[in-house]
Amino acid sequence: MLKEWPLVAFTIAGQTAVGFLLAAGLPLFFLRGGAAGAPARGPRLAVVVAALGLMAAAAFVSFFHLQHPFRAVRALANLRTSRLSREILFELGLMALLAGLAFLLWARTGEEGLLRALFAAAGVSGVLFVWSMSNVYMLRSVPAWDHGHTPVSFFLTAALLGSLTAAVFSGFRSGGGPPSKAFLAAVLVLVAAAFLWALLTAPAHGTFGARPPASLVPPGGASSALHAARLIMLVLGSLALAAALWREGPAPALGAKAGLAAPVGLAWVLVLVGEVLGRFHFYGQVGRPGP
Amino acid sequence: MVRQYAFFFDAAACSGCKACQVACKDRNDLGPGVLWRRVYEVAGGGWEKKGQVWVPTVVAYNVSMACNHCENPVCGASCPVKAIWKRGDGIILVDTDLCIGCRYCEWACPYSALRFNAAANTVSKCDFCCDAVDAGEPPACVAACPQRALDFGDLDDLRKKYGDLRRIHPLPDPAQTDPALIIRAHRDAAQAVERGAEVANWEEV
Repeated sequence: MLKEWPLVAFTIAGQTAVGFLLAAGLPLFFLRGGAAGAPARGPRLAVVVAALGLMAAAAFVSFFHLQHPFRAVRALANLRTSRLSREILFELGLMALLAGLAFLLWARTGEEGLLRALFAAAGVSGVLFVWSMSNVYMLRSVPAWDHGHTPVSFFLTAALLGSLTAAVFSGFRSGGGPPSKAFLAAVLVLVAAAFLWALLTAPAHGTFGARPPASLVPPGGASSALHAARLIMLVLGSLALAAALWREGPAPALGAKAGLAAPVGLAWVLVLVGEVLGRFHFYGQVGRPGP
Repeated sequence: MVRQYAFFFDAAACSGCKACQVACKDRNDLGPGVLWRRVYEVAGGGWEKKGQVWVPTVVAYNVSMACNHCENPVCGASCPVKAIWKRGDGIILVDTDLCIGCRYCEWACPYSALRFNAAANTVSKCDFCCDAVDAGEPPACVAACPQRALDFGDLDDLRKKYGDLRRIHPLPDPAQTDPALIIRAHRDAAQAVERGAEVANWEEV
C-alpha cells in the first residue's frame, strides 16, 4: 500500500490543482464584472502559475511510479482503449492551456475574451482530467473501486482541497484579502460532505461501502484504523474551520498575523492529511501480486 | 490452423502438487515471487449442526491459473503504450522493450496474470511457451502435470472435447474478458459460494 505513494501524491496534487484553479480563478476571470471591471493581471497570473506549479509537481511525482519513465513518451499511443492514456491527454491539455494563459498574462497581451476563453477551456480540461482520473480506477476487476464512490470522492477532494488552498493562498498573495466567511462556510460544508461520503461509502469500511468478493485479485493492506484516522482528521479540520468562522470580523488567513492565521492554515493541514490517509486507504483495497 | 490457443484445467483432477507452477518457473527462469502459473488453494466451510450431529461442510479444491490469453484482453486495452499484443493464434505477449512499468495492467487483469519482474523492471506473463508450441511441443505446465489436469489446444477443439465451462469460484465472470479457458469443475465448487470459500494461500501466489 505504501508503495503507491507516487499515485497518492499525483492524484491529490492533480485534484487540488483543478479545484484551486476553479475556486480561486473563477471569481477573478468571470465573477468580478465585465472586461472594464476585470481585475488586474497580477492576481490572475498568480493563480494560474500556482495551479500550473501544482500540476507540474503532480506530473513530476507521477514518474516515480514508472519503472521506465523515459519510455513514457509513448503514453498517448493507446487513446482508443486505454483510460490511462486519456488521463494523460487531459493532464497535458490542462498544463498546456495553463502555460498559454500564464504566458499571455505575463506578457500583458491577449484580449479579455481570449483570456476568459482560455481559462474556461482550462477549467473544462481540469474537470475532464479529474473525471478521467477516476475512470482509470473504475475497473471491473476491482469491485472495490468500480463504484460511484471513486468519482464522487475524487471530485470532493478537488473541491475541498482546492477551495481550502484558495483560502490559504488568498492570504499569501500580495493585495489579496482574507477569504470571506461565506467562502469558508462553503468549505466547511464540503468538509462535512467529504466526511459523510467517506463514512458511508468508503470501500470495505464505509457503512455501505463495497465489500470485495472472493477473487484471484490479492487483497490490499487497508485497515479500518486508516479509515478511522481519515475521518478524525476531517472532523478536526472542520472544527478548525468552525473556529475561523466564529471569530469576530473578517476570516483569518495565513498572510494575516500569526494568531489569526492559525485556524484556516490548521484546517488546510488537517484536511490534507485526512485526504492523503483516505487515498492510501483507497489504494490499499488492492494488493499487487508477487514482489 | 489454430484460431485461438487455450488452456483446459480439470479442477477435479488437480491435487495441488504445483508441478505446473515449478515447471513454468524453471522453463522461464523466473525469479523469486514471479509466478506466471499459480495454484490457488480455494477453501471454505467448517462445521454445521444438523439435529444433534455436527457435520463437516468443508469445501476445498485447487485452481491452477496462468494467463488465459483472453479473446477480449483487458490488459492490452488498458496499456497506454500498446506493449501487450495478441498473436494471430491468440497468444498474448508483452513487449518488454515498450513496457513503461506503470503496472496498470496488473490491476486490470481479473486473473492476476500480469506479474512484475523486478529483474527486467517490466511486467511479465505466461507466453504459452510459444516457442515450444510453435515447435509442436506442449507448454511446460501441461507437460509437467502428473494428473493430466492441464491440457491445451485450439479453443474450439477444447470446447468439443471438454465442454464450455469457463468459470469456477472464485474466478471472475468470463464475460469480462472472454478467457480462452475451459474448466472441469471440482464437485465442491457448487457449494463454494454459499460456504464462503476463498483463496487460502495468498502468501504462495
